[in-house]
Order: sequence, then C-alpha cells, then structure tokens
Amino acid sequence: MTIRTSLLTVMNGLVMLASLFSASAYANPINGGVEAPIPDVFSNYYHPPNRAGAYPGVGAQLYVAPQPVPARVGHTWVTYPPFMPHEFLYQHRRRYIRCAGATGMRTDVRAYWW
Amino acid sequence: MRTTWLMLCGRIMAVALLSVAFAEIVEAGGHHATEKRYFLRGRNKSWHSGWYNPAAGRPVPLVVPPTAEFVSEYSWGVPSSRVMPLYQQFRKPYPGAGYQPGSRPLMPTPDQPSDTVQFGVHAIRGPWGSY
Repeated sequence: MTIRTSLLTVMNGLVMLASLFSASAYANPINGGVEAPIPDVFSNYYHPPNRAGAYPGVGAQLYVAPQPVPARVGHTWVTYPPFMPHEFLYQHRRRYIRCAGATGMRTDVRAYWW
Repeated sequence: MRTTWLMLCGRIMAVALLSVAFAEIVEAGGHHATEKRYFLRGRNKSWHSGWYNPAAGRPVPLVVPPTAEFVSEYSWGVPSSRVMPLYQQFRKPYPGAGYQPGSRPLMPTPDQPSDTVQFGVHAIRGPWGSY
C-alpha cells in the first residue's frame, strides 16, 4: 500500500513536471507577439515650418489625410499602415531571436523585405 | 619553415585587425548617429527655396527615400551643378496648433529659369516607417 501510494505520488509529480515544461518546448512569442509599437492610424507625417531665423519657410505634410481635427468631428484613418507608400521606399530588415527548447538552443532568423 | 608559417599567421592577424578597425571607423556610430546628425543639422533649415511652383501655387515637396543623403542642383553659369546634403525628413509628431501649410511671399518660377531650385520642387526624405 505504501509502495503504491509513493508510486502514485511520483507519477503525479512526473505529470505535473511534464505539464510545466511542455509550455517551454514551443517558441512562445515575446511581448505578446507584438513586434512593433502599435501605430497611430490617425496621424500624418510633417515637416515643421521655420518662422524665424536665416531660413524661414512653410511646413509640409506627407499625405493629404488624415488631418488634425477636433475629437468631436469625423476622422479619417489609415486602415493598414504597413501598406502606406513610404514603407516601400527603403529595405526593411528585422532579426528575430527566440528560445528553441529547454536545452539552450535558439532560433535566429534574419528577414529582409521592401 | 616554422618561422615563415608564424610570420604568415601574424600577417593574417594584422590584416584582420586592420580591416575590423577600418570598418568601425567607416561606421562611425552607425545608422542612429547618422540620423541624429542629419536631424540636428536640418532643424533650423527650410526645405524649400525662395521660389514656388506656379502650377501648385506653393513649393512642392518631392518625397525621396529616407536612405537618400544628397540632392543635385543644376544651374547656368559657374558652378553649373551643386551636390547638397539632404537633411530634411518627414516626421511623426504634429508640429503644433500653429502649423499652417499656407504660403509666404515667394517668387514664382521666372520665364527663363537659371537654376533648378527656381522650379519650386524640393526633395524631402520620406519617414522611417514603423514596419
């Protein structure tokens, strides 16, 4: 009886250990899987004006919309910022490093796209 | 023979060290240092000249890739061409409530332009995106 109880305890411990370490066998995303800061879809890109000094000048904005408007009026926004035209002006590169398994291995991926 | 081999190894090591040092000197702080330098030098400079584009009624920004560093300008006379650093770049924060993309007293393109800046089209680097 005592041997059976101890065997059951050991088996239970093994099952609990397996359930604990099974989660680390997968590549869990870091930071909830969010790789980039959440974009502000209601903002535009600007070049500020210079009012004084040796080089006075007017401002400029990159896109015709969205415009800065009061909060109580209708808004325009960018539905998918990765497809904004300025994203295609340069080569993007990212490096993803993730733990792969409990043995200290890791996956190192370099990604390039335009 | 052994001495020759050791000398060869030493030369290879010296070449490797010199190449690494040269690469670090050329890099000079990397991409972020260059971006900061361009930002600081372009803070108090206007992106346009004293002429506006008659078709648009204002200076027209020409969006170029953010990797561009210089812009070429051409003119009659001497010098007939200039290579100017391109500091200006579109950025995210809204310049403020006083921001007005309106016009200032600028000159239109003359009938016989003598310089490419008189066409009123000026390059501004596009922004580094979030993706």
